[in-house]
Amino acid sequence: MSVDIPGAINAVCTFVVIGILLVGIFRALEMRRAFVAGAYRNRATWSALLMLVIIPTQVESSVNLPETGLLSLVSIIPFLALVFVIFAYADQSVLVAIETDFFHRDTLGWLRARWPVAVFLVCFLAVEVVGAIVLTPAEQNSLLGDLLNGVFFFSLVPILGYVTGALIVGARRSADQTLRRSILLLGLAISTLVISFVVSTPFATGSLPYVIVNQGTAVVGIYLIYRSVMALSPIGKIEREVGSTAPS
Amino acid sequence: MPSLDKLLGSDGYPDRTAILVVGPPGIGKEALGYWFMRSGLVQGDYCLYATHRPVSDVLRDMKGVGVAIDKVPEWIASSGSPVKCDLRDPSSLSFNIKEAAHRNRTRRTKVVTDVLSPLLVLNPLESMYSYWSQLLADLKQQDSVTFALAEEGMHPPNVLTTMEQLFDGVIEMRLYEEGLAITPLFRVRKMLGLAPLHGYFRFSVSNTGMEVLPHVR
Repeated sequence: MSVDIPGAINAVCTFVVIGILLVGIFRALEMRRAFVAGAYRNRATWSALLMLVIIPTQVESSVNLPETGLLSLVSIIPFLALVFVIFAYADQSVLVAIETDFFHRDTLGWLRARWPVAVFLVCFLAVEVVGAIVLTPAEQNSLLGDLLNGVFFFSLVPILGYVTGALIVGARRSADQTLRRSILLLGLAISTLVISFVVSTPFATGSLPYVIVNQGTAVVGIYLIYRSVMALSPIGKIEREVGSTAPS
Repeated sequence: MPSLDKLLGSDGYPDRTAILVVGPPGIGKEALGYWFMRSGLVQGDYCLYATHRPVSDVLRDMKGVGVAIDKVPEWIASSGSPVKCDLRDPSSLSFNIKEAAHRNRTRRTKVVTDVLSPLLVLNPLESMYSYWSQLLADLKQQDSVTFALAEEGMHPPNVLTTMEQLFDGVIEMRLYEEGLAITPLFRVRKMLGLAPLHGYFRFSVSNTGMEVLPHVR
């Protein structure tokens, strides 16, 4: 009896990742409810949204969906939504980091680059979606389809690398120590996505090295996102010996 | 804030005291300060808000937590106020606070300030201990309550423990975990003239004020 090792690793990691994500979403929403300040409530909301959009991408990776045709949208849309949410959340985080920097320095030229990068991403997201709807499976598998996909993915890696750099540098410059840690962990989490894209490229999809790289970085990245949420505030434990009594 | 007054005794914060509110960023320390100041303005007290932020930021923040004020406090702020708050010049800041309070010594005075943490970051602990000791002692010469906000996590634990000794009351606000759930709770660590208040209290900030209820597990 042969054991499908890559499949088993995939299933276990997907299970672990979805568990972390569900706990993370719950805790992010709890923190959102607890915070009074808008900046912290926003970060908790964005973190919950980011973890929410990761879930379909994880589920989709465990299900065999067609790679072309209208049904391929089911696999494309969660990934595109993830890219969009990562960029929007990172943008908001870098802006907060610049605002909380004593000298308000423009981190890696982010204030000038954010709009061109956003327009580029939106155009490519639109091309991917329209391509999946309009092009026939044969056309999607043609050289043109491969070229579009190639340009998209090879553009995405430097963009995510730039986003990661802006987050890490911005976090280091922020005077707010709580936000600094949270933004830094988010930057490191996004860096795992970049590492995953770069390192898994030479391997065939579904092969053991591909699954190890992909799922390993996914587990680490999602745990870092969870830590980024929990870093929003120090959390204490209620002392047992003290009674919870109302004052007389 | 009737629920908080009930917690602290019938008259709320004792007169001629300095209260320290400690908590992580975003938890609602400022909101507690805004409601404290608003209650003073409603009662016709002289209110002074000394902040390292611009007045516009504080007003926007107040609106965000539902604090509407008809009367305006006197400001010492980084911008938007006649008297500027310059963190690099703590002596002038202290002088301006004392001078404003002294000008209004015939009225009950409420002072709210968020400059404690930035000053502690920018200056040695020894000098800040003397600085705050002097400032709070001077303010307590008249009928005043001073409300200072301190950021938890911005200082080593010994710094806040040292500063707590200068204050008559210490209120701690933070998030606590109970299983997977996260709850914002409030503790009165000490309060002049009151027996120690054991236990934790839930708090929520809404448009009508701050609600504080005993936390039952």
